[in-house]
Amino acid sequence: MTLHQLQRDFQYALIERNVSALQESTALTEGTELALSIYQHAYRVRLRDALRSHYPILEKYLGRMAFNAYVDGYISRYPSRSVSLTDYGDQLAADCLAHLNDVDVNTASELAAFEWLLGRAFGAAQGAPVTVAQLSAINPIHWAGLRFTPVPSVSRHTVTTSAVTIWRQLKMASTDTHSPPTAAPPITPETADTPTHWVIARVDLDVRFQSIPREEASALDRVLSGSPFAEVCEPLAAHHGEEAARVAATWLKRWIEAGWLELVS
Amino acid sequence: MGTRRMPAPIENPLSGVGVGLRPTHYQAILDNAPRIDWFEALTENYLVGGGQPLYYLDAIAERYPIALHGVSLSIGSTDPLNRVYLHELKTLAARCRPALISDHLCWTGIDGMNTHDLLPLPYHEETLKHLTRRIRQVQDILDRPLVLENISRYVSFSASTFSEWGFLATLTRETGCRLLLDINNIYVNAHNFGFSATDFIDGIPVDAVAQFHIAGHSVQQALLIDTHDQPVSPPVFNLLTHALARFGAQPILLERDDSIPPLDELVGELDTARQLLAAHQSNTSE
Ligand SMILES: [Fe+2]
Repeated sequence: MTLHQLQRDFQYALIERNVSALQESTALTEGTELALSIYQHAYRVRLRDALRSHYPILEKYLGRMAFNAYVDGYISRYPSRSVSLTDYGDQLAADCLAHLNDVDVNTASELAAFEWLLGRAFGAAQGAPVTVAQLSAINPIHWAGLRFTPVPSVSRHTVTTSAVTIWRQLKMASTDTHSPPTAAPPITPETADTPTHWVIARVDLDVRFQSIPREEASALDRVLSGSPFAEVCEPLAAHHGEEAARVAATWLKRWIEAGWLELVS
Repeated sequence: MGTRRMPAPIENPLSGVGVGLRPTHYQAILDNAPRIDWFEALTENYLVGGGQPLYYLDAIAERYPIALHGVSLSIGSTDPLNRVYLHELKTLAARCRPALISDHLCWTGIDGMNTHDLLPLPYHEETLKHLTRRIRQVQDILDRPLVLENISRYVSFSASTFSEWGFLATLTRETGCRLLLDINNIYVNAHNFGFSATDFIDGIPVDAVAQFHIAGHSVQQALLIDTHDQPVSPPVFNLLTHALARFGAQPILLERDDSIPPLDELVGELDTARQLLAAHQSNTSE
């Protein structure tokens, strides 16, 4: 038996929880039942622990049992293909829509997406945020053509459920060790009839998030997708008339002060 | 084979007793400057763009010698070597200037998948050839000797024709790679497969060892499991004494991956390791 075939059978035994090919090959010496169960168990526990560390508030929201039952399926559907466990679990927000039961899946999915973005921001590169001084040095006649990209830690997340409120409540309940567990406010999935718009970013070493109004969020989305500044201003004219350029400039200054943007030269 | 360029010697060799670098200890290390000789950083935790992991690694690497210890090289896999990973590893090494770069003598996955476990290899000619070729490639890319750790394992392969130590000894002779001898893993494997742990140690060439690991294990039915969630057991310390006598005062690393206590609670185990090192050094200077 080649080394390659041996590794195929071994990996199959771990990922598919099926040891028959490996045992029939007689590649292993006798008495391997306990040993293989140790490998199979360790494989799942390691991936589950990675998901627990990436989605700690989702785990609280679903409860330990439901979370474990769900991630056991996720681990089967998505074997890891990444070098580091840090990158494991990127499909979870989409996957849970189809595979979670007995829970508001939209809330769970938005909560998962939110936690994933927080985690991405945590280890993202610093980037080279443009400063207000750098922008001021550019002649305003050239502003219309300016293009930006988000610094690596910045992402936008639009939420149609109370996922962020729930995240905050559960986070507070889990870090406030002075109050008894029952002190956590009751969670009632409110029907948020207007979506909320969030920006996630790391400031120095700390990951922060804040909400911005809908109109500002769509302007920011246009900037982040690489549109020149003039195209950001245009849709504002209908609502702001002559003030459109000034409104857009005010927002731009705020985004730059927050350290969200890199200038595309 | 004799004409091959040998990798550059290791700069800034480690000495004394180190601890695995864990995020829960970052701030305490900077605040309290604990009396720990060096830290071993888990490579994959620092293959990120920035933020806290690299901030703390930079700050701690300014104050202490660092070793980089990886789990994803998968040197024994029959998949192609992951060049992207190796390139990132080399970039990280240029940043924190580790005294050595280690990974494990194992495979972690094939067909593009990663089980994130350190899986065992059969000890036979095919594996030896495969590993020899790949270790040389990695050493050429990193431009330094690779340091490989013996793993704990719970199965053995009927096709093996070498003892584990015979295999390691041959591999280091063929490639010039060094060994990170995990004393606990030797103890665990010796118990699980009924060989003598001292035979293992005595079968390793005296100049092949660059570092020791010591760690705790737990018991599951008939097997010892390398869980790294317990203090180091007395027989493992005894075996360390035997290894020090054979390989000299190589740097010792105390591993703790689960149930991680505050740094000052590891001091007791650190002191035991230090005393063994000191006893060895005074024996050899007499
Ligand atoms: Fe180890």
